[in-house]
Amino acid sequence: MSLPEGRLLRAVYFSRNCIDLPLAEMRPAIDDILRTSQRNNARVGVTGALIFTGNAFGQVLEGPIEQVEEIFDRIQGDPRHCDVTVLDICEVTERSFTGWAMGYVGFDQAEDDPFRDFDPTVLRSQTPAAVELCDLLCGLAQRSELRNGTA
Amino acid sequence: MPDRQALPGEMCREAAAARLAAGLAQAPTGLILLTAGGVVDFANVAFETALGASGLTGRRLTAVAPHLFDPDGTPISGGTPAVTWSRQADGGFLGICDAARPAPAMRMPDRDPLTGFLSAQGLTEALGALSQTAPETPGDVAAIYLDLDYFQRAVETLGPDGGDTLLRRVAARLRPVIRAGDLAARLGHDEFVLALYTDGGRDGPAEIALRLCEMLARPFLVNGHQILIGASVGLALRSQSTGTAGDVIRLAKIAMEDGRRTARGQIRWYESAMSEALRERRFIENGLRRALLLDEFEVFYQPQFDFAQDTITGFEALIRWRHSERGLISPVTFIPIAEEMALLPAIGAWVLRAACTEAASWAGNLTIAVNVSPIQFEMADFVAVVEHALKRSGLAPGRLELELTEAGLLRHEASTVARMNALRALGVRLALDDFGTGYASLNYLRQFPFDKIKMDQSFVRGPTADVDTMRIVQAVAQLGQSFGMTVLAEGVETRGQLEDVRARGCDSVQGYLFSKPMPAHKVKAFIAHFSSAHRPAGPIVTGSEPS
Repeated sequence: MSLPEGRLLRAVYFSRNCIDLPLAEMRPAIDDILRTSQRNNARVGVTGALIFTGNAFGQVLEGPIEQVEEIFDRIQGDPRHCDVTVLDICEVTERSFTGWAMGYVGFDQAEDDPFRDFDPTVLRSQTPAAVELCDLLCGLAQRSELRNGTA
Repeated sequence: MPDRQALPGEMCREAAAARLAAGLAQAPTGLILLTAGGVVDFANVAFETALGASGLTGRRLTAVAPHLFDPDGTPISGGTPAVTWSRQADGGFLGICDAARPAPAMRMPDRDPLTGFLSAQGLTEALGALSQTAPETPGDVAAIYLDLDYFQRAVETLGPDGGDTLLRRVAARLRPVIRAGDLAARLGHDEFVLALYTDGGRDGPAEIALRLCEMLARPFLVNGHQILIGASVGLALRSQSTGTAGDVIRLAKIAMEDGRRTARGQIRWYESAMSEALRERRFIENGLRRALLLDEFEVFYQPQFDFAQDTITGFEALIRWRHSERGLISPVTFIPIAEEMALLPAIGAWVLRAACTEAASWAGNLTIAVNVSPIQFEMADFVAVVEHALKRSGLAPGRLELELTEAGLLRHEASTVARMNALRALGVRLALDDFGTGYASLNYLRQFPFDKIKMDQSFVRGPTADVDTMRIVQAVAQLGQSFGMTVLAEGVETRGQLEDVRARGCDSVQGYLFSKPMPAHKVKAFIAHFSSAHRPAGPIVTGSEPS
C-alpha cells in the first residue's frame, strides 16, 4: 500500500459464533469466511484480521471509511455469527495490518499458542478493550507470520 | 442479408438462437422452461411479472409458487396466473402464460429509488396480483410490517444524507433474508413490508421476522458513527383479514404498533382484540380533538378533611369527560392518549380556569387543589397561565394548591425549583402528589419547596396496609412536619383507616369516607350540609356519614 491514502477508519468488533458444527469441523467454514473476506477486502482496499476462538470471532477492519462500513455491513448480514458488539470505531493515521486483506488467527494453530483459550467477549467490561484486541491480533499475526514464513 | 451468407452454418444458427432468445425474453406472452427437476431454466419478463416474482432462473419453481403445482409436484394448467404446461422430451415442462391479462402483467411495478424495494404504489399493484391467486392457493399470505426504532434519533446524528445511507444499509441487510417470490417494499420513511407465501403456518413467517429483527438490531456503521437502531415487527395472515392483500398489511401494521407501545425490537402477531383496542383508541382520539371545543369536559370535586380544624377545608379538582354518546369517560382512559396527542397543556389550562372560577364562588376560604401534568408544568408560559386563571376568577392565590408528581420534578431540577419559587411568589401553594408511588426519594422533600405531601392511597388501603405500612405513614408524617409541610392521606374509605392515619400524625385526609368526587352543582349543598351536620361530635364520631 504505497499509494497515499485518504482518511482511514478502523473498526474493531467481536461476535458470537453461530455455526452449528463441532470445533474440529469448523476449519472449512472458517476457510470459506476467510476466502470471501480476503477477496472482498482486497478489491476495495480494506485490510484487517480475524481471530476465532471457537465461541467467538474478533475482527479488525481498516481502510477508507466508506469501504470499511460497507464491508462491515456485509459481515453483519452473515448468519454465521450473532451478538455483534462494536468495541471501537475511530479514524487512524496508519494501518496496522498492511498487506493483510484478512489475516487469521485461530484455535487450530500451533499447539503452543498461548491465546487458544482467549475469549474476546471478556473484553466487554474493559475500557481499552479495542486497543487490546487490536494489539493482540497484531501480535498474533506477527507470530504466525514468523512461524509460517508468510506475509 | 449478405453477411449472413458469409457466416458458416454453425455461427448462423447461434446468431439466430441468440436473437430468438432475446425475442422470447421480451415477448408479451409469458414463457417458462422447467427442468425435469422443476428448476427454472428460463423465464421471461412477462412470466415473472405475471407471477409477481423476479430472478426465477435457477430456482425451484415449486418453492416460489407452490400454488402452480399439484401435491406430487406436477405443474397444473390453469391457475393464476393461468399457465398452460406441456411436458418436454427431457421430462421438463414448457409453460405458456395465459395472455388474457397481458397489459397489467407487463407493467413493471413502481420501485423506491433509494432501496430498490417496491414503493407503496408498487406494493399495492403486486399485492393485487398476489391476492388474485388466493382461491387456488392452499396456503396463506403473511405480511411482516417493520418499523425502524430510533430512526429519527439516528437522522439527528447523521443528517438527512446519512439517514438515506442508513436506509440503504437497512435494505441491504434485509435483502438476503428475503426469498425469491417474496414482496419487499418500503413505505413511508422508515417502514418496510414483506409479503410472502406460507404453507398456512405461522412458524415460517415468524422465523423470517425474527431474523429481520435480529439483523437490524446489529450495529450499523455510517459516516464513522456506530448507529444502533432495531425494529418493531408486526405480523398478520391473510386468513385473518377481510381477504384483500392490502388488508393484511393493515393488520400487520396494527400488530406492529401494538407491540411498539409495549416492547420495541420484538415481533408480534395480529390479534382481533388489537383492532378493537385500536378502534377504541381512534374513537377517543377523534373525540378528544372535539371535546375542548364542544365543552365536554367537566370538573368534579372531592373534599379534603382537616383533623386540626375538624372540618372540610378544601376540594381536589378532578377532570371528567362527558361524551355525548358514551357518557362519562374515565381520565384513566383518555389522559394517556391526550398526553400523546399533546393536548394535556390545553386541557390542564382549561381545568385550572374552571376550578378557580368555581372555587371563587364558594363561601369561606376553602382551598382548591388542581393537578398539573409534567408536560403542562414544563410549558414556558405555565406561570402566566396560573396567574391568568387567578386574575380572571378573582380567587385568592392562597386558596389555590397545585399538585405536582415526582415524574414532573425529575426532568430539569434547576428550572423546576425556579418555577416552583415563581409560583409560590404568586402566593400559590404546592403539593407533592402520589407520594410513595414513584422513586419516593425523601430527597425531594428537602430539595423542592412543597407545602404539602399527598400520600398515595396504596399506603392507606389495599393489601399493603399493614403494620409496616403504618410505620412508613408515621415516618412520612414526621418528616413532613420537620420540613414544615402538611401531610394528607389519600384513599381513606373506612373509619378504621381514618383513625389509623390520624394516630400516625397525618394532618388531613381525602377519600370515599367523606365523599366520592362530585359534580360542581353538588358542592355548595355538600359544604352547607357538612358544616351544619358537622360539630365537634360530628359525623366522624357519631358515625353518620354524609351522602
